[in-house]
Amino acid sequence: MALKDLVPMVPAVPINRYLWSKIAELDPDFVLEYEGVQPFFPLGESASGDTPWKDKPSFVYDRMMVINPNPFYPIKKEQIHYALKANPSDSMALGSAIQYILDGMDDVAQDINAYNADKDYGIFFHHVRVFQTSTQVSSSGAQRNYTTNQFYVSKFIIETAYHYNERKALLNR
Amino acid sequence: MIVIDTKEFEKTMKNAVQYAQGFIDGIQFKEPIFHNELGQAIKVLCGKYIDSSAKLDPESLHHVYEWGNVGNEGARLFDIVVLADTQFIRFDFNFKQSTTMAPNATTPFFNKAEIMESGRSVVVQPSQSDTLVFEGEDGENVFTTDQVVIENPGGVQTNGAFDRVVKEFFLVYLKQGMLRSLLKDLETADEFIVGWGNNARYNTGMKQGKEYLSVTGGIV
Repeated sequence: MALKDLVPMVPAVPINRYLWSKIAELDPDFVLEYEGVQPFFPLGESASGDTPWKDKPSFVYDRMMVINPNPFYPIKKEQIHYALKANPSDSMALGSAIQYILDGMDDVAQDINAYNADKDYGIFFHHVRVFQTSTQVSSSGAQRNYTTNQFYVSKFIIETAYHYNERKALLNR
Repeated sequence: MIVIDTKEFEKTMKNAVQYAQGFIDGIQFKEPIFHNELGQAIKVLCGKYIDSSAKLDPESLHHVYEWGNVGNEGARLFDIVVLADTQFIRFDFNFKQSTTMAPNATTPFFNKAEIMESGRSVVVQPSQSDTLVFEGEDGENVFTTDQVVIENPGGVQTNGAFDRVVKEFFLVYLKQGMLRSLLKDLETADEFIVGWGNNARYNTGMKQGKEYLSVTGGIV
């Protein structure tokens, strides 16, 4: 059993899995185009590569920070920074979808926990919320310049509070 | 005749008033320290936000890091300076000189962050001979006696990108990502209730007032 199977999963993994499943419910044809791959890539762009996703929207994410908001340390708050790279129409639709699906505080946290119950990720979500930080009307228009940047880069913060559980794989070892 | 002894009542009320006064004085005493704590916390968050933005969109923000280290905290080419007082918290951003060399270069790019951010063109001319030699786009060496003008040395996407991400942080992220929860915490002065009781005095009030106006929690 490898280390990755024993320690709790990072919050982004179950969140991405849930998000992609909800997008699939809303638009199955869109998800089929990805041939079974979830287009969420951690850290730098190099992880995603350009070729497979050149004409399709993709997400790059970074665990921006983990915050211990109070002395009860088991509950952690994390902010995950997402960059959605897509053409203008997909950018609008997917940006709206993310907020529609994930911006629901403890209701969404319950749904994520329920959806990932089969996966033994070792993480329990308390709440999830989303806010967009760029490509808003109030921000600079430079990122919308179609002549120099054909893909929009829309940035979101997904904020979540969670605690870790023992994974079954570790308990049964 | 009925006699009511109000000594205990007066004592309790006196302590309560002193406790409340101590709480307010504690807040006033702590205010400039709180501004500094808040400023330092915002500075850490701002740095992390810029690092993260750079990792997600390296083409726009590579110029404010040393070569090949985009998003690395230790390779930042900017400093954030916080100045806090009772009336304000001020943030100054300064660019630093790059000390590392680009691939195939022999000297650091002078004022790299500032030049690429402003989109200024760079003129390269031979300094130790009459001929300039550099690698062309096809990988072949190019020899020229003319000066070479490089428009947008960091690429067009770096122009104003640092300015944009800093504005994005202060205008959008800060309110949603940090101040929202801080203001929510300050709405209810739980610390006042915690210190309330038989031992409530001016000093305990002051201690709780200082506790109330604190930036708590750690960031990783």
